[in-house]
Amino acid sequence: MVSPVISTPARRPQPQLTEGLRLVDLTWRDHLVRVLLFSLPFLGVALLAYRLAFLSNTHAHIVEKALLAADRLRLEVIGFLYPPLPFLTVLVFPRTWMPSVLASVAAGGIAWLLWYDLERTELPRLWRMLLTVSVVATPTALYLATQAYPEVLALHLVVVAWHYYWNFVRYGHTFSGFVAGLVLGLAFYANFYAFLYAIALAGLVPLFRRAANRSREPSERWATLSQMLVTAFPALWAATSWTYINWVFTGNPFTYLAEPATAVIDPTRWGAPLAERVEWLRDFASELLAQPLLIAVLALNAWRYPRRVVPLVVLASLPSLIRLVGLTYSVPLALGTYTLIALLALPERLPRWIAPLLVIFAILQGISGTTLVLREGEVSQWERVLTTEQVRTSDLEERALAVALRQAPPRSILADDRGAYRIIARAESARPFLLPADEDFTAALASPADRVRYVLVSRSAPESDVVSALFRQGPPPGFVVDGSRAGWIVYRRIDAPSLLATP
Amino acid sequence: MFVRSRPTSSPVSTRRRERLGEALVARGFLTQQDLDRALEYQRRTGDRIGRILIALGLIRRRQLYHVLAELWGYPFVDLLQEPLDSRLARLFDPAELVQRRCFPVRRHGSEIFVATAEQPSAELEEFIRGVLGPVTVRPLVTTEWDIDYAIRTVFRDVVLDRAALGLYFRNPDESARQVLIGWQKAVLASVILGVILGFLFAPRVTAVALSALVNGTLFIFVIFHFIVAMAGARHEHEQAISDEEVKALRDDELPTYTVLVPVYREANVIQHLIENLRQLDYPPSKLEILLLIEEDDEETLVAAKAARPPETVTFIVVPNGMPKTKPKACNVGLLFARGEYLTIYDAEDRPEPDQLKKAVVAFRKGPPELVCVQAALNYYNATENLLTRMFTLEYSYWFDYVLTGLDRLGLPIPLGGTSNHFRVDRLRELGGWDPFNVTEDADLGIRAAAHGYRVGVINSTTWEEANNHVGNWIRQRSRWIKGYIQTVLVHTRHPVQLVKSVGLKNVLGFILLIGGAPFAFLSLIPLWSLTLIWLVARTHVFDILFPPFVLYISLFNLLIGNGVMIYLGMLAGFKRRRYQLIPFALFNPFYWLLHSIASYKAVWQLVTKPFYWEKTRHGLTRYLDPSAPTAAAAD
Repeated sequence: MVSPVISTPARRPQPQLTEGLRLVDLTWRDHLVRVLLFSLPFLGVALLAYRLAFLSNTHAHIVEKALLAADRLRLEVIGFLYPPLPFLTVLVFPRTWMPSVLASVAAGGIAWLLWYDLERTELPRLWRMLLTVSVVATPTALYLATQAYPEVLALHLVVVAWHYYWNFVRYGHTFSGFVAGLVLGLAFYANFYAFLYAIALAGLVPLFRRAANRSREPSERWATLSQMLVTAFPALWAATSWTYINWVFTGNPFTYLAEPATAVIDPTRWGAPLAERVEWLRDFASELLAQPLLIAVLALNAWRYPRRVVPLVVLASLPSLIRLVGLTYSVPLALGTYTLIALLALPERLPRWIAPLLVIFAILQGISGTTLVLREGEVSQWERVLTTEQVRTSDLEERALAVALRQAPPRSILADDRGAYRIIARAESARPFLLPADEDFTAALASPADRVRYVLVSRSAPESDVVSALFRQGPPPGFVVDGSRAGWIVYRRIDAPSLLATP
Repeated sequence: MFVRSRPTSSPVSTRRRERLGEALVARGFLTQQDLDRALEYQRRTGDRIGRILIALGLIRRRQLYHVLAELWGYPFVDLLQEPLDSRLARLFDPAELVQRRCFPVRRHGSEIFVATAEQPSAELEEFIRGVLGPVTVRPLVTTEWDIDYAIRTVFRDVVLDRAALGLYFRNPDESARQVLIGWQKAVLASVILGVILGFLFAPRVTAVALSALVNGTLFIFVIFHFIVAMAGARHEHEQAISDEEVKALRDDELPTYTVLVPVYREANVIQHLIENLRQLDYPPSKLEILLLIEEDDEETLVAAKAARPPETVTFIVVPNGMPKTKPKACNVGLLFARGEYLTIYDAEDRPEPDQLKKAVVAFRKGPPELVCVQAALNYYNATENLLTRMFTLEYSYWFDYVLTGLDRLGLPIPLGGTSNHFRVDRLRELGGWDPFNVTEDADLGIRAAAHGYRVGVINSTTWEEANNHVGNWIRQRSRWIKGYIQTVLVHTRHPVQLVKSVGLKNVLGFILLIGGAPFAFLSLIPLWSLTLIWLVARTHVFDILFPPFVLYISLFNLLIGNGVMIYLGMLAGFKRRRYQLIPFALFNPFYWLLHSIASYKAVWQLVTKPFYWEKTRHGLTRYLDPSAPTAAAAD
């Protein structure tokens, strides 16, 4: 049902206003269909990785928390897990494949938006397809799209926000401005860096804003300030709120910055001396110079729209700046960011001869990115599993251990999910485990024999895993070693049946 | 007493052939130049020359009717001087007399002398005979002002009764005269008793239930506002009525438009009102402005006369009686309205000149069930102080985004205080305004929806004066919130019937919009107090109020809901490019505190003085100068 007055055709033609608007010309159903179509290749890769039993640490951590909350029916048992948005979406159906599926859909959304934007370049369809494929079919993109759900979700939200932000600052489309702000605010709950991008985009409003004839008038200055406020407010509000509840419930407002799965602060870089940081600049510069597509697009903008170059360079420098201050920013995420900025910043109506050059630059950027990204431990393992189609022994053992532990009675296995999250995630149920979130945990730690039948420890678990720290040297009184798999040892209370005995 | 120009029974045919304009020129009441001007105007508007001459101020009304009496061949009668036969007149329905522009003056045996402002006709005679039986009708000529005066004098009690109790007698369940009906009283008593017993016997469960109810409702309220405002924002650039559509209107197609202006103790703004109404871009001969002045407000009446308004302005003195409210005055105005469409302006209003034409276009474009269109209201003194800034943001948000959003979503639209334009026949059918409801406008919008009619919005603005004093603001706001509560209580009296007639979606939309606001403001002080005490004392006393799901929802309300509502407040400045106001949206939480204070006052008054009309003082702004709106609007 629509307005009785507006329902009859009365839309004032405003071509100058709506010509460049993005996304608003399609309904959400149109978007959804296209997102799903573009997700299919990523879903294929995700399911292949699942079949080969690969599970990234980030996904395992998210699934484990979701399983815990779903089993205990209390959200607060997970503490103030950050970022909460991926966790909440996985909570709908907490299984190990769920984050990969959601990540694929988020990546499909990004791919669709890139394709949507490329149409504005008016390059031939074939070259647009090649360009899209050449940036999407890289290990970096596929890894992010299938194994780094929080990061790809944040990227997806930032890309969506970017389109609406563009409508807002270029065409004064209020609805878009508020959608952009809200999506950026939401993105803070997917990844901390989205907050930094929100602030950056707000700060860049004066540079991206379409120069009005009356730009020196006070009202124009207020208009710019208002647009900055609208862009930044939700992200600032979200960050302040999250900090506030961290402070209220944990006593430390910035607990979330040190979350194990998605730690914002890089402990190795955070306290580095200034001289060392200057050294990093050289690395960052060479990383940027290894992005030929990005550089080509910046050059194109310098040619066609010089005003856009400075803000685009600022955005492209953010991954480096973030690392410079001592925060983490994974290499795949940095490479993904560069590629997205390059494609989103492509000017409209490009000459046809540029298309092959762009494809070549994209391929070169993909190759250079692959060499960088495959140095990362988890990414290279993922790549090896996928290319060889051979399941890692550790994954098989982890899965076997999880299946065995899943048979245990409720709350009968004393474990600490700061170390054992992969096993719990693989078990796809938190029910058998007695974890730090449970009230009995402290008592069980003091006297396991009175509270639990099994204890799960690992010699290689982090120190924060208090169960492993306490019992990794040997079983607690009344327990014996039941067996060990995938680096984990299961202690069994003497009177309890074995979980690991081969039938 | 009659001015007898000719024998009353047989009009002279030769005189009838003389044309009015020529007769006026011949008698020296009009220059040929003015007549030519009026004739040119007539070609454009197709209106009657007499109305045109009066509307253009070229002739006095009384002079015109004297000449008409001569031309028609009947005596002129001055009803202000003529003794009136009340017993005779009261055999007629005053509303019909208003519409037929006639008044039975006296009886002489079987002869009935009837004053009329229209050319006497067989139809008039039939009408009189229809009421009195076989009588001889003797027409007299008079002005429509005299007729209105006579009706107001003779039917004073009837006018008062209809204005005050018309709706109540028609359907008591649609009137707020009874604050609560039987089952509502029973439910309220049960709820209060239940809460008391609950606290006595199961305090924890009761506290949790109340906490869940409050937080859950606030959660839904925030989501609802978000959806509606974003729907409004999405269609921000769409124009309900385009300038081209307004330009395409021909003056001769325009209907007569009645403008009601209820005033009370507003002598200081009368001069500005007259000036503002002069700016309306509508053929004056088709404009009927009724200035509704309360009987005991001599000061405003004197000021209005001193302002020498144009002849299109008619003073209607509203009979003194309870309740003394604006809707009652409007009902009196509705009785005397002769236009096809009608709108209301407050004394300090500055409507955009083409607003009436836009409303006409909207009615012609809209479906038959479109009963009213609401223009946006905004303030010309936005930058006067912090309160006016906040108020302007709120109004801009409400009229530019929320009402547009409701319109787009097809939800019931509560009307704003002024600048609502009605089809007069439908308005009468709906029973006019409820004088016992202190937000009669909101009530009428919902009543229209309940009767299957629709309310739309038009892209035109009326500039008003924002309250610039906190005390005055709280008085006004407490009245609005009290009225909202009255409106909810009235329209939920037959919930099943309401759902059947307008659908569940509309009912929920209405309850969330009209009932949600008082609920949210009443909840604000207790919830924020709890938060503050908890923050300062770090006590765990309140923990029992927040089991997990209630905690999540209340955290959402506190941390996201408040942010969303502040953020939506920022929307307000964009449509009108009032960017300087946008940062002030950050002060919204303080502004909500004022709302909360006003809401408690509203509840108290609902119990103690349910129909009391908290008068808002106007004319306090230093921006009263009519040259200000453009500057203020541009900011």
